[in-house]
Amino acid sequence: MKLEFHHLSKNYGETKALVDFDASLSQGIYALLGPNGAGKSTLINILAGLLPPSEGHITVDGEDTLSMGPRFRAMLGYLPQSVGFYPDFTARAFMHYLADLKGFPGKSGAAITEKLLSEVNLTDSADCKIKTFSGGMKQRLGLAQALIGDPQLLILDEPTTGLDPQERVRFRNLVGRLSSHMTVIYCTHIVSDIESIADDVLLLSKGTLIARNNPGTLTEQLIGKVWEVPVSPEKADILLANHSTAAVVNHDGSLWLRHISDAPPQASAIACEPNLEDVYMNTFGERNETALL
Amino acid sequence: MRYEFRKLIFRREVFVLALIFLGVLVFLCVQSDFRAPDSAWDEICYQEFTAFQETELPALVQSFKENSETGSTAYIRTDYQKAFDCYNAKLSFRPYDTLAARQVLSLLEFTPARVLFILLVLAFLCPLFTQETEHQMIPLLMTARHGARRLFRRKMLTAFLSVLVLSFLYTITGALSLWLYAKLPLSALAAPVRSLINLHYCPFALSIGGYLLFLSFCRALAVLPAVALIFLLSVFPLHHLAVLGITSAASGSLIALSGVSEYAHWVFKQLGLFELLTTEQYFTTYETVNVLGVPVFRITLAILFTVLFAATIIAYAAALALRPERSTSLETRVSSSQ
Repeated sequence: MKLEFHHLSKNYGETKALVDFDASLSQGIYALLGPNGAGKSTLINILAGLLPPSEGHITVDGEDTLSMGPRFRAMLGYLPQSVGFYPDFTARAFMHYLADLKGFPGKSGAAITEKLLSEVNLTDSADCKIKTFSGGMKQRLGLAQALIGDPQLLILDEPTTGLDPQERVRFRNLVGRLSSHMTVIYCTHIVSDIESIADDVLLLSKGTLIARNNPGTLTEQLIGKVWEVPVSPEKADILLANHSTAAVVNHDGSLWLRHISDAPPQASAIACEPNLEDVYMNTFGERNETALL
Repeated sequence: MRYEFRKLIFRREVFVLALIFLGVLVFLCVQSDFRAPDSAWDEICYQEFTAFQETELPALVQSFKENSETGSTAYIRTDYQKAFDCYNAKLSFRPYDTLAARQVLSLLEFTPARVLFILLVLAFLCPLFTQETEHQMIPLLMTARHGARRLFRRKMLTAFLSVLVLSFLYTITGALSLWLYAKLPLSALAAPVRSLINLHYCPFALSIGGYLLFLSFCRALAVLPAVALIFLLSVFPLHHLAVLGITSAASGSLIALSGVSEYAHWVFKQLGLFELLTTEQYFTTYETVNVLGVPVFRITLAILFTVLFAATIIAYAAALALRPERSTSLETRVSSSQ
């Protein structure tokens, strides 16, 4: 499947939420990375058919998704940012309900339900009411419903918000395992979620696609530009306020400032291996090349 | 569709309203003039009924029933109407009139009971339409292959079936109340509906039980506009209690106003939108309205306008509900402003 965005724009009055977005995606996991207000959710909502674009269109194998209608929705699996459930439904009933709405009634829906609940490790809780579920369980159930019908396009809109680290890792592994034959669009601002599973990262800022590459290539661009400097707690806040590309890290009880600059900010600075979070900070922060201390 | 019904049950406000409704019904039974007959009264009933059976009038009434099925104009103009008037005049006591069926109908026609019934129906149905908005299910449902349209059809069907069942239960509850309190014999339901003063003009050979079933259906139709209003309000991001409150206030006040002023809802009255709630005029015909010379019953126009009115609201609500951007209108504006 080839998913293409053609000059996609969305305006809310004077506000431009998305500006001339162009991209071509095929099978794989694509991370949409950007700060709040970057246009990630707007792009997702337009793709899911929940929002009409102001300009442009989206095609799947050359066919406009709007004209495809139910055929496009049949190949779509969607996990929204705020996933809703009927609290008095059991997980099994909820899955049956959605399977029916997605065109899998009766026994076929029941078979799909059991298979997916097993995949997300919710079989034991299948007959419990959703209102008794933890956040992680609800997200897994949300993922299960998105996978009904074996979709070719899976959209995950900030799926790990509110989950503890262990649940996030579990969810990430689940996505990686279950989405091997799909195009997955993973929208997040939590870098660690996609660092190990994304094939490509699309960086959005203020509605514009500013960079696109695989995580390895993106981090390579910062080799020799990431430094760590020891700081005192008193100076850490001041430095953070003045250097938006900086972050404070803790190594064995002492504070170090992780800083991005072309040259070492200080004589005592140690060069570090860049990661995707550094790429995020470098892309969306403002570099301040003045001396730290 | 069973999942749509599952959304209706186990709501606290439904239980509370149901309890209030039953309580008011019991209160009305106690307060109103539904005296349980004593044995002397039973004896009088039996004597009168026996005397009635020994006259020529039962044959006349039977003949009248058979012939009046050909049309209301026929029965009005024939001698059978005169025979029926004669029967009414001659009988000093109609065993199935004063006690049983008439009291069933008058109990059901009490304004507080009617208003409570409508409130109960609205409280019962509100979650059917509001749960999706309340629990942020709209994005999931709108992106399902058959989500929007299948959901809309099922909700409409569930709503109407639920209203029918509730209306039927309402009628049964009223009849049971009288059976338990006023010792009404259930065989009274088999008596002809024309034996009642209010409905002696009924052109159809219905029993009282059959008429009550018909009444249940009409009452279900009467509530349809209020249900349509719930659907319309549920399109907007309102809490289900707010939706229930607005719809209940609108419906209840219109009905209550009808007792205060005949002109309070004149437009609705002219359209027959409240005719289905008041049974006395069901089978009277319009003096100036007819279809190719065939008189038109008031209930015909009442059903027609009620259904049209409800259908218009439902169509508008469906158009609003099925807009793609409905699911994101608030969320997207919030996220884009961050």
